[in-house]
Amino acid sequence: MWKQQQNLVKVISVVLPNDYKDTQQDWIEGIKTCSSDLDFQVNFFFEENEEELNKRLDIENSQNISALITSNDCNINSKDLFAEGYNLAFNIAQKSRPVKLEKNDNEFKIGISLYNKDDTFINTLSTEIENSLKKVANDNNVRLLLDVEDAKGDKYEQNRHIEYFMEQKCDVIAVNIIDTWNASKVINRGKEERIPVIFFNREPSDEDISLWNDVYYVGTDGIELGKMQGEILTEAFLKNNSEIDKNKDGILQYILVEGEEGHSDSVRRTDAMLKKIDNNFTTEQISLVSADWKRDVAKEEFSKVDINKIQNSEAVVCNNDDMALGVLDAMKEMGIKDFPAILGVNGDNEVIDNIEKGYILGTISQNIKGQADIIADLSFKLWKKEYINEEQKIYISGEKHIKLY
Amino acid sequence: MLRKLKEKYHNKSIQFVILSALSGVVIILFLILAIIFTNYMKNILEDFINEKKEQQTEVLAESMERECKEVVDFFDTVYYKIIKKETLQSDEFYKLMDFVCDENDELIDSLVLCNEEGQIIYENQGEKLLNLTSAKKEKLLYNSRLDIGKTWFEKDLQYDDILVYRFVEINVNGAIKSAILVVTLPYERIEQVFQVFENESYGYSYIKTQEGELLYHPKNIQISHNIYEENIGIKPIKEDGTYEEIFNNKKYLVRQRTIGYVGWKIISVSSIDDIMYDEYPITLLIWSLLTGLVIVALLINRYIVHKITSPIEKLSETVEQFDDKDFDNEIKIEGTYEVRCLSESFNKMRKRIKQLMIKAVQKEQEYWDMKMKLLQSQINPHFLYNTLDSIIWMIESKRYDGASKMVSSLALFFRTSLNKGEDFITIGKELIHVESYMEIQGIRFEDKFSFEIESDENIKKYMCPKLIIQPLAENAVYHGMEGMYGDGEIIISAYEKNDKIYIDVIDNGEGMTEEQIEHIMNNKVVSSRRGSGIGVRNVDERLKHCFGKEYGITITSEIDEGTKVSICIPKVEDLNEYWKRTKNSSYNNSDNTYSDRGIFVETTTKSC
Repeated sequence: MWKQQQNLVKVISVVLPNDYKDTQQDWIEGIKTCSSDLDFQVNFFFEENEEELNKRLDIENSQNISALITSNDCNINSKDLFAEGYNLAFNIAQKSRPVKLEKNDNEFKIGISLYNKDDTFINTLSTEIENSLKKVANDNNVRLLLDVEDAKGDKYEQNRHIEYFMEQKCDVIAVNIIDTWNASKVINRGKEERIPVIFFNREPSDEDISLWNDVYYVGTDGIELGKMQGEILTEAFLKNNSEIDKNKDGILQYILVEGEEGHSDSVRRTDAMLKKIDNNFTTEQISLVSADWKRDVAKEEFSKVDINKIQNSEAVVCNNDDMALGVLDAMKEMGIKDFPAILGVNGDNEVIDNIEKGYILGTISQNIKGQADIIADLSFKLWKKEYINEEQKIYISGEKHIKLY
Repeated sequence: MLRKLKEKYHNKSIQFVILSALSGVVIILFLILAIIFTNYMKNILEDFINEKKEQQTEVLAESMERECKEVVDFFDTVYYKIIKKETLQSDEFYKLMDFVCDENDELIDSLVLCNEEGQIIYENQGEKLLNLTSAKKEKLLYNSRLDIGKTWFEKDLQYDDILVYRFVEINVNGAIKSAILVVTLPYERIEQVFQVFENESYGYSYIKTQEGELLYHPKNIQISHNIYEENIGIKPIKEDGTYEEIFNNKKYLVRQRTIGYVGWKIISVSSIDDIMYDEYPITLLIWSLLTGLVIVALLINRYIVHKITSPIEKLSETVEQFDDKDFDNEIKIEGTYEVRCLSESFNKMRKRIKQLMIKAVQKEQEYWDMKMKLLQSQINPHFLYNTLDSIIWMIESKRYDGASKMVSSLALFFRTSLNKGEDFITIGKELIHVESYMEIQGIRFEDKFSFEIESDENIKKYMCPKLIIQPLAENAVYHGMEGMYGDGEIIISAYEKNDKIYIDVIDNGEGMTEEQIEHIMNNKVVSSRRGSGIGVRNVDERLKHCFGKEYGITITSEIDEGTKVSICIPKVEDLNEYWKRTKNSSYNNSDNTYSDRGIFVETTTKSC
């Protein structure tokens, strides 16, 4: 009796053009907040074009849902879009009837929480994951209910998002965690609600992952990436010594641009890279910059480095591509013509362009597509309960992109 | 056995049956209720404690996480802001290091930074000296390399301290070298976190490392001196949650919560039994409350049952009295409707029975009256004729004396026979009556026999039914004196013996056999046509009817010797008083028929 009532839930589908994600954020936020308050479920569908939208509307109309919200319901001119969205959802939810929510085999609901969409890498990765999920859902003829939330670097915001996913009874939650200290909390919540959690990009500690069986990490191995970076630099230094070793002293003078302080990936990449090059030739770290993974920060911080040191530097090793681009920006601004060997990690398109131009020595592609595919596949399998804890950590190999001499 | 019980039960009073059944039901119900309630209480208590423990461990874990994070943040500050930024062993480096250590002296105890070779680059010793052996340094360095980005927390078995360390890179003149940053944590920090819940009465909490070593325990000192040993929750459990553990026959609730990042486990232990013991007064209160309720319920039960059954019991009592011939006790009409109906009906029935009874008694009386009248009219005309014939004959032969005596005797005989219509007569008068009869017969049979009447003077005043001696005398004359010629003798004697009056009629005739006596006593033998027509049996019946079964006639006889017919009657002066007196005692002797004399007394004077 009680259980049956539990299954009676109001489900509202929202079908919107893709650009609403950015332009009508407050309005969407209003609907979501209302769903938490009134305890109904809301599924968002963002479609690229008119055709897709109409297709989606047809599909949703045939579904067992309480109500449907479309872009027509959004009054863009309203002053307070949040209140607009909230009131709209409130009215619709009040009027609509609850439907019997059966855990049906044809509905795959996943919530994705991102650390920050401003991060180019994360942005690309999230798009790729979305595409992969859509593909998997299409291939298996499953209705995909996808919700991507951007925490914008606020860990409390991320907690709220995760809580929202739990409320919405997602089948799987994928988390790009901001603060690895928070991982145990997320895992414990997932465990309580019996919702598998996939961490990606940022790796929680082994202790946290061992808290529960249905916790996974998908990402690249920082040590491997660092090692590959080191390999590129070593190869370049040994093979094209004349090109790299400007002062011909046989010692590599380099500047290190680190990512977020204390971030395991930045530490691992740096350490592995250093170990690799230190094994092969003498190095000298003439300066160290910490730039929090960000292009603008890297540009700013790098500009502060003594100009002589920059001119003397034979290599600038960055923990990721964004910072490498920042360094490049800074050097361009400084008017430096003879760029040292710049190295990044990620395989960003802009970096690859710069490699082709010869400005950057190399980068390690993190195989974003591969990561996205694995995340999509893993979550789909978890939803189908086909993945039986073979491995909790899945590492994806990087791929070198090197300037050709 | 069961049937016996059933039978026993059947014989109990209605009040007992209802009361015991109701009380039994009440007690059983309350017992069930009490058991359910105590169980429920226990469950609630368990849930409550569980929840409390959950919150407690949650708070503890979060506090511990915060503590650890603070240390990690401190490490990041030291590493990124000082070690990486400043030239090692420069004045600025030392100044900053000292400053940071002093600022955080509450957070950390001692701090040591040493390079790969184990040389100390910087140290800041706190209360407890951090003296790392080279082996230890090597071990820490090895460990820290396993995951270089991580800050490691470890219990130092040697110093009983918590060591925190991480891999750092140091820039030695441009060359990047490995180094290790180690701090010890003041134990008081953890103690403080745990002290918040120290005074909780629901058990205790401790921390163990992933390897199962105790990191913090409220009884740390006792444990280090081997006085106390922790046995509960020590076994490794993979998943967090609440578990039941039984140790030394005691049930414990163990809750495990893993602290994020460091992987330590907070173990919270509470004993349900202890808590139940603590909550004993509540349980006692509940039980006593329930017992009180049971008593109240039983009292109410008793009252209600009494209210219902007491009229029934009264009814039953009255019915029993009714059995005892008490027809006048009206039942009070009270109690429930059914009982009232019953009482009313019973009263009606009682009235009706009384009416019927009176009617029956009247009928009986009439019967006896008729019988007496019949008896009196039975005085044989033949006897009268014979007597009158004898008188005529006497007058003709001029024996006027004899004739006149006979006539006067006859007159006396009839007068006493009539006795003014009364049924009872004094023994004296009865004797006069029989004397007159005997005189007549004596004259008639020309002194064929002699007779004698003897009597105690003092018994003459007692009463007896009339016409009881004459029939016996008649039998003696007609049957006893048959074939006697002058030597016949009839003795009539009345005397008192054993507080009873006996009147014997003795003849010396031919006597009777036992069979004959039997025949006379049990069959209606009508006396010869010449006699008064009243048989022995009739006399016996009347006596028994009047006085009871122990009275009546006994005949003893011997062939050729004679016959003795003995009347036995009580000493009665006032009949009414006698019957009143004998009312109860005679009950046992009566036939339980309508001929019960008690009723006669009340209804009409008796005639026999």
